Amino acid sequence: MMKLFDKEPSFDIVGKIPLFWKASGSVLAVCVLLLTVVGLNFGIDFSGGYEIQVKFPKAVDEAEVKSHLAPLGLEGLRVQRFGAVEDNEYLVLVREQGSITGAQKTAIRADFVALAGSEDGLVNWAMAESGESITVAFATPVTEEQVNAILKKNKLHVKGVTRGDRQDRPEYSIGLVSIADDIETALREGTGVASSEQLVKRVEFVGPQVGAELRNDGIMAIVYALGFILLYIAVRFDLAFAPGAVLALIHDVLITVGVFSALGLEFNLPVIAAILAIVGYSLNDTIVVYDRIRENSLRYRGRTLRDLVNTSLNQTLSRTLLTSATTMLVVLALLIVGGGIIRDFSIALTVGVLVGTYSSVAIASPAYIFLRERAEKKVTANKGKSSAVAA
Amino acid sequence: MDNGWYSRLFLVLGFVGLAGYFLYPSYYYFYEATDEQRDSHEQFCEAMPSWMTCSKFSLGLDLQGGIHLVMGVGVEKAVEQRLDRLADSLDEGMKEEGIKFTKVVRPRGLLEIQVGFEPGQDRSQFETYLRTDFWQLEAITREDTGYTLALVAERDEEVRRSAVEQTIKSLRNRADQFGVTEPTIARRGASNILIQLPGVKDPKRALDMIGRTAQLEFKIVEAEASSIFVGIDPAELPEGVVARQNTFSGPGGKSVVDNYFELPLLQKEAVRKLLESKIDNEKMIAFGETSSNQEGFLRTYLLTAKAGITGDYLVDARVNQNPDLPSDYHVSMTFDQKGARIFENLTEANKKRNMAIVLDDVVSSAPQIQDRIAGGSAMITLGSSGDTRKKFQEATDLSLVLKAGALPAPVEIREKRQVGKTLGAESVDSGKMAITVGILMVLIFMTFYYRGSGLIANVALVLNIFFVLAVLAMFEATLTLPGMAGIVLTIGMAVDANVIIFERIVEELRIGKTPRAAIDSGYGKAFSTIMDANITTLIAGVVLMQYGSGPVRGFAVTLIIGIICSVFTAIVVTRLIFDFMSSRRRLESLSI
Repeated sequence: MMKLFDKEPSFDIVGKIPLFWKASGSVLAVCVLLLTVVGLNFGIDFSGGYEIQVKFPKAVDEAEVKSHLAPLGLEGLRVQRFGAVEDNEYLVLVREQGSITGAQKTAIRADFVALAGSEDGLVNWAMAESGESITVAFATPVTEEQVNAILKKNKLHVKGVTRGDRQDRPEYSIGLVSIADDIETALREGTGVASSEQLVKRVEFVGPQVGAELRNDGIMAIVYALGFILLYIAVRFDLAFAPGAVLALIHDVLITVGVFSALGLEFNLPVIAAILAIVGYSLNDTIVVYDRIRENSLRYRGRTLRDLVNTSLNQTLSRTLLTSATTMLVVLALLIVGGGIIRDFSIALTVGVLVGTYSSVAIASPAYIFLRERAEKKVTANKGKSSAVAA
Repeated sequence: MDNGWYSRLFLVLGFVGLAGYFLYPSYYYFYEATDEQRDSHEQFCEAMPSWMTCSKFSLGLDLQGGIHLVMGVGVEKAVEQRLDRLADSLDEGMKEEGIKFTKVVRPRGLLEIQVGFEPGQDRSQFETYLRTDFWQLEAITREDTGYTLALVAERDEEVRRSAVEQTIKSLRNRADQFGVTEPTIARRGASNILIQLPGVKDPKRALDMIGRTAQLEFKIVEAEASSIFVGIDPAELPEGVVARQNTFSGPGGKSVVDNYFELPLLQKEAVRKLLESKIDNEKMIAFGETSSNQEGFLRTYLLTAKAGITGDYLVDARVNQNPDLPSDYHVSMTFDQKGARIFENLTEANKKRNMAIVLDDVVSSAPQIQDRIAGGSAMITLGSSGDTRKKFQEATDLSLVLKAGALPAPVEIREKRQVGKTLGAESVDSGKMAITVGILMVLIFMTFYYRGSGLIANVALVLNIFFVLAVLAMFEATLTLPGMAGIVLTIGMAVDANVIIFERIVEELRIGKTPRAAIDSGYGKAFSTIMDANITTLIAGVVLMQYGSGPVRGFAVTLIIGIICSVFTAIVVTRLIFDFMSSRRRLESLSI
């Protein structure tokens, strides 16, 4: 037998609880601070915008990519290297909506209202969320030149303007060059990549409406998962167990999200999936310890609560560490050979598995002790009170 | 060995057989099939033996490249159109019934109809008429000077719903016509449509075609009336605009002069404004290519404003080639019965006049009607100059769009994800690599740490992956990159059940039990722990599947399947092997 521990370990884990609380407490405080001050780097899944993955046939550095894109004056432009240096791949991220920002949109609309004479005069106004087209219609005669003048004034990259055929109502549909086209053209011209060569590997656009939907769905998923899990533990074990498990989960999620904030990593849909996987994994760990506490409390009736929990933690310690190790092996495989697209996802998992292992030992079980002791104190206090009354 | 052992053995072997049965089509598809078989589901099914299923798992957009779109349907526009039509029939109907009213209008931007009355007028006749013939409308306000009507709530909802459904139908038609294999087109939320076109080779062209409105109208060219333009002073014309004339033999053999203008693209609006000031409200100005097909120039057409017939009546459209001039492609169209009658009347009434074919507000051609056209067919020519291949493609796209039908409401793109084929292939490679490396690492670790028992756990692990893939194939699931990550993660978690069992066995051995007894109580005590731990993870997985979208769902599906399979293999399969070993000889020691 080759074992982590030759015999059953007997560490004083419960004795270290104050230390765990202090350590976790301060890390959590830092995470909350980071989240409020720095915030999260939301990917386009949640913020809306464009994400374009490009691969250059020759070496191009980040500063050069940025310099080619600078003349476009893009809102919230970010350029990130993607994958290894020799791949010459970059992610170009543009926030807000396509080529048109919210402020620009308001300004353009105001100009059209002015042209129409009044708010009512602007019969129709619609801008595609992708910023790829605008439709306007007026109650009074408006010429194409007037429309063009407004487009020019607002510095829009116009592909073409067509007038509808209704005489009574001048209607124009304006096709705009999408930001993705602009970026591709600028990069091709800047770096001299021929149009026959592939440059853009992936283009993603998420409009603000869909972005909000995805964000809400993500939050709902986490809230519901926590709710159902709490319910299951309360039914299957004991109500005193449930808060500890959920506290440990919140601890894990907060720290993982905090690491994302600290490192400025992109927070996107796959990361939400990773967080829920962490919830599942950390819970798995916690349940194994809880299960042992429950079993032992039936077996060793005479022992104190703290002794009982400490024994249980020791008995499950090698399992906790071994499972953590095997999961870590595959998560590292994902991180190292899984490729750039799921890199952020893998980082979330890596952090989560580490924190999840720790929290099942250092957060969930101590919370159980805390709750049980408080409940016992209340019982004794009540007893004292009632005996006082009796006297 | 007891009887229970054999039944368990048959259960496991049965599952292995089933898994092989469900996995074979996927294996064939990805490693053996020809391109034709991959492109057509029917051909693929035929290649499978008749007793075999042809369900297989497929690759998501992120793995095979393609387009993912969420389109928003302008449902308000559909309600507006319905109200417009109702307002028209209300207007006509009330006149016929002799009900007095001052106006029937649908104010722009509002989803309501306003009916005006003389103050003090008796409303009972109108009220009855509304209830019997216009039950779709309900009065939301009743003032002395008039009523405000709106669509009844259920009708309003139905109009919106049917606009989305109609759009889905048209889009599905278009995708089918375009030859996309296995497109996903589904409603998402109240007014959104999710479109997934996997493996599309030319994304730009596909997008153009999917999103096109394709409003087709036939309008009569008012050549006779164009004489009104003769009087225009050349000095009045915007710069670069040239007046032209074309004389032809018109109705009744009389010679007709068509006065039109050729203009640079830029002057379009100036010319329109000038000409429209000269004509009445029933005519309109439209633009099309010049006869010489000069780049950057347009010509004007004077048309009847009302469409003679629209594309709503089309049943078929196809590409034809002029046998004398192979570079000359045209699209021939067939109308349905009613459309054929309208078209016949239209051509009869306008013999020897020209008819403009207007597509999405641009005149694509304006041939002369030689005679009454019965049988309901018409043609759009695409001009004879330019790149033949490109023109053929244009003609094909046009015929497809026409055949599939116009969209009932405007659509806008709300989400678009486009993944190139090479990137997809790279992702498949890195996903496979991650799974392989992950499995190998865990296999090595388990063998190194648990020795003989580790090997048993490894058998379970490999079977687990086999089962997960088979279940994916059975449900025809779509495998995405996060889904592959889910498989990798379940590998890590799958051995967990065995770690729990083995650690329990070690504990039992430590307190001095025999191997046989240690195995029994190890499995017994670990069981509830394993169930509790996995059920809670399963809860997280189910919630993810319910509320997650796109990549999150793919991940959730593999996670759920992985959990269920791993519990089975870790408990049943490993126990089977342990029992086999302990029955063969008395276990003196356990390699653990």
